[in-house]
Amino acid sequence: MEDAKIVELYFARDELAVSATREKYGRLLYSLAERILGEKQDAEECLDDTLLALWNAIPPEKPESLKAYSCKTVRNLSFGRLSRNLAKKRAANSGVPLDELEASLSDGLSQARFSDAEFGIVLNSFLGKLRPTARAVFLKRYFFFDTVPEIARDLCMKDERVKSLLFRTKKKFIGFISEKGEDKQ
Amino acid sequence: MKQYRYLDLIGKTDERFIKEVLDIHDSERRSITMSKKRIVAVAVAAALVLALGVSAVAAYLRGLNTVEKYISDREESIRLPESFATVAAQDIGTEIEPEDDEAFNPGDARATGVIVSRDSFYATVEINASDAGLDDYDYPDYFDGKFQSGKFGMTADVDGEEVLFGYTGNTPMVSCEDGIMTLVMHFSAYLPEGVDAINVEIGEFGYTSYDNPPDKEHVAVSDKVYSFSIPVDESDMVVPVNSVNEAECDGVKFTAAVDSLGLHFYPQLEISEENNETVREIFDTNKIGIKMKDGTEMKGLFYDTSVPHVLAGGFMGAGETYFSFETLVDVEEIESISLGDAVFKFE
Repeated sequence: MEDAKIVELYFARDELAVSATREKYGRLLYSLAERILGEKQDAEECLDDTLLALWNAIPPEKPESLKAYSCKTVRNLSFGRLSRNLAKKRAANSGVPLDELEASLSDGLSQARFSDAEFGIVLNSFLGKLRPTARAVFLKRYFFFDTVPEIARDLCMKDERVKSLLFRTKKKFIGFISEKGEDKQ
Repeated sequence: MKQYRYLDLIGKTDERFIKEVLDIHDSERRSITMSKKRIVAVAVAAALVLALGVSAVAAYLRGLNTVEKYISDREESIRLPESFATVAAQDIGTEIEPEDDEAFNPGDARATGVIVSRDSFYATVEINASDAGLDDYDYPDYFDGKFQSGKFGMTADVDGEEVLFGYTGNTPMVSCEDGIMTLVMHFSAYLPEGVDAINVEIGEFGYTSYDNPPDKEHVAVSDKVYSFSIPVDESDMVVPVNSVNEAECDGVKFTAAVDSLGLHFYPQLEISEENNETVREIFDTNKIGIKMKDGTEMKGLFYDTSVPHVLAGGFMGAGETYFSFETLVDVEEIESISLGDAVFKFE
């Protein structure tokens, strides 16, 4: 079913919208949740939470891309759940090296003092300046948590080029954020 | 502070960027485009690979035609000193920090240093070729241990997009110890504006076979191909300033241009009917030498890498009016240069 049709169902408050979303994007959303949470049950519950969140948000939200909107929703909910799990001292069994990724991002970002909202503005300003390939590599790694070989395969690149591009883009990001941080002061 | 704060905040990415990434999965067009680029890059590179080393650099210089034209192109006036001018060593070159903490495994390759200007670059490269089986081969007696690549290609990254660029140069091997190969890359190349990396593919290492004279062919000892990127920071680009000196020895006019990158030294000898035999004698008997401050000497500068910190490349330029050679040296460490019996102190 086309996304536009599914969104119409949400607007019509037809519950078919939920099952259509699950059928079309369930695997993708579950996969992203599982990468972050590391637990199948958690991921399944997060998927359910996502579908409920979509039902509650649409309308009035009318996403241009239901797929992108859903991914953003499941990602944000997954991190919320992860945060609660960690607070309960439940170990994160994520297949993704979250600690390592966080460390590589925070190393250099910690000096810039931004609120969460400000960070989002700066982030998107930076992403807007990138060329598509660099942007895709950065987001596939840090938004979707794809591995380097997965990114290389999807973008028809060698692993080494992905690593190199990721390293340079991340450095640029840190530089950009730092510069914006200085402007702010 | 919340754990994974920054990873969480990446979730604020605008949906249009997320959609763009998701669309990549759904689209085959991009992969075809990227593959075509790579095929074209390899084809262009293949043509240049055939000309690597001697003839490629000669072709580059052939365009210069005469010493005078060379001088005028460089917009330098010829000085006539008793000895070569001092070239102040500059703190140039960028050491490349490792991009991650992963071990340097078999099959890995990396650039460890780079010096780049708008129209040339030098890079030092290490390749962990311990997976190439280079030791398990019955080499001919004439093989000198210096592997040559049979496959080579370069593209530039401009904000992550892969673009082609023209280049000519070579990649002499410095050493190969315990499977770790060290190379130097030196290329004349016009790097595109906004370049932030040079992507390199190199491999099929082997040697030139002279088993079927007069034909020469590349014999690949290994089919392994290695990939790496050389980061380029345009703010680090150096602007070469050349000094040009002319002298005469045994009836041979000798012009030396020293690039202020500190690494380029290329004497050019103008050959005429009168001095042809003298020059040929110098050329044939390797009467060109460089003596370094640490006492090491290099005679005959054609691909002689026996001196560890001196990297040599040789070529015949033009072939008609002059020949020249190019040597990559640390100019600070040169004590003197000899041409035949004439010795020029390098101050």
